Amino acid sequence: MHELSIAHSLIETVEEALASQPDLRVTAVNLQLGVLSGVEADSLLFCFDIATADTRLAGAKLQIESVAARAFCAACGHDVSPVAPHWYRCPECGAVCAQLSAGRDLQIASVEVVENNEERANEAPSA
Amino acid sequence: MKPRLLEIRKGVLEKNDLLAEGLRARFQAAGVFTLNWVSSPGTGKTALLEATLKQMREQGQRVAALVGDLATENDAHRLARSGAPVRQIVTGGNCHLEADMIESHLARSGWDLNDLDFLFIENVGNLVCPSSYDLGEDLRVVLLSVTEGEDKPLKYPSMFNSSDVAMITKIDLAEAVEFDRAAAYANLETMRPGLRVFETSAKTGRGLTEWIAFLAEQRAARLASRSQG
Ligand SMILES: Nc1nc2c(ncn2[C@@H]2O[C@H](COP(=O)(O)OP(=O)(O)O)[C@@H](O)[C@H]2O)c(=O)[nH]1
Ligand SMILES: [Mg+2]
Ligand SMILES: [Zn+2]
Repeated sequence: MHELSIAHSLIETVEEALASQPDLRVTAVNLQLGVLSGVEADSLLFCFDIATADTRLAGAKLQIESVAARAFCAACGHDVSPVAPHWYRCPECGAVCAQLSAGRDLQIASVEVVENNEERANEAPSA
Repeated sequence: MKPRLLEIRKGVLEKNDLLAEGLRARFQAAGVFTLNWVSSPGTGKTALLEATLKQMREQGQRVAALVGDLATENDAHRLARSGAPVRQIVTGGNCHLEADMIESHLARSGWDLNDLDFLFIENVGNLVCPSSYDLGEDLRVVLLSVTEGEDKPLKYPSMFNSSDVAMITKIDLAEAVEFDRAAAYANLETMRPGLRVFETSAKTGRGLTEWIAFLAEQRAARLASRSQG
């Protein structure tokens, strides 16, 4: 199972992107996950919770947007979404589409963050 | 306090991809043609690799191998019988190789890439995880043995999808297990139209000559594309 490695890479990527903003805490990660990424969403969710403990992503929600396979069919001129198991076949005209333009995605689109100190200020009873 | 949205737009495996691109450039500059072999455990990667290394050495090709395994060094001992330089990468439970493992093992190997024509990488036996990790290879080779079922390609689309060549191994056992050749080819073609397929047996040596000639051709083509651009 490589979802734990993927979760660690994900955390590392977020940490690097936020390196200059140490006061931010991450409350959610928005991930685009292609149907052909080879990564299992359920396992990744499970591993994410484990791997984020003791990081500034602790308690964050992993919000996974599943990305369908996409291809341009040269035969019929349509943008199409091939489906399993015919990832390279146009669902409209049956021609072979040699190139997928989407479906292998494993990309962090965005993160949702709060300021650590603001949060503390909110928690404190307002005197 | 409402959370703020920060755009990141970064690939999760960007670091691995960058390292792999660096490796690819180094291999290209040194004229090393690199292959990443992936399959289930027991498909016959090590057996076929040993036979390939042996024959290629006899033809004067300069070959070396890196072999990944979860826990043992057994495969490296088997491959070393070919006489080729071999290094084991024990992944300590990691179910796939990553570009940084290739980089660090090459650094420690003491091999000079300029002295090599081919580098073979045997990945950890697993048809899922290695598909996500580029190792800087020129060719990804997926192996499927006649004993493991013709529908394997349909069950592991990401792996078969991302491979450049398929090897049907243990072809000496095809009749005994009533291997359905037509179904296997149809499934491979579905997963990757135009995929080049070889049939081999490490036991009888069948298909090896054609396979090795193909590798030499591929390397020559790669070197030609390098000198052009
Ligand atoms: N009959 C036959 N057996 C093979 C062949 N290649 C490998 N084997 C056997 O299959 C088993 C697994 O092979 P191995 O090379 O270790 O597979 P790996 O896990 O993919 O590296 C061993 O018992 C081999 O002897 C072959 O071409 N023909
Ligand atoms: Mg092996
Ligand atoms: Zn079409």
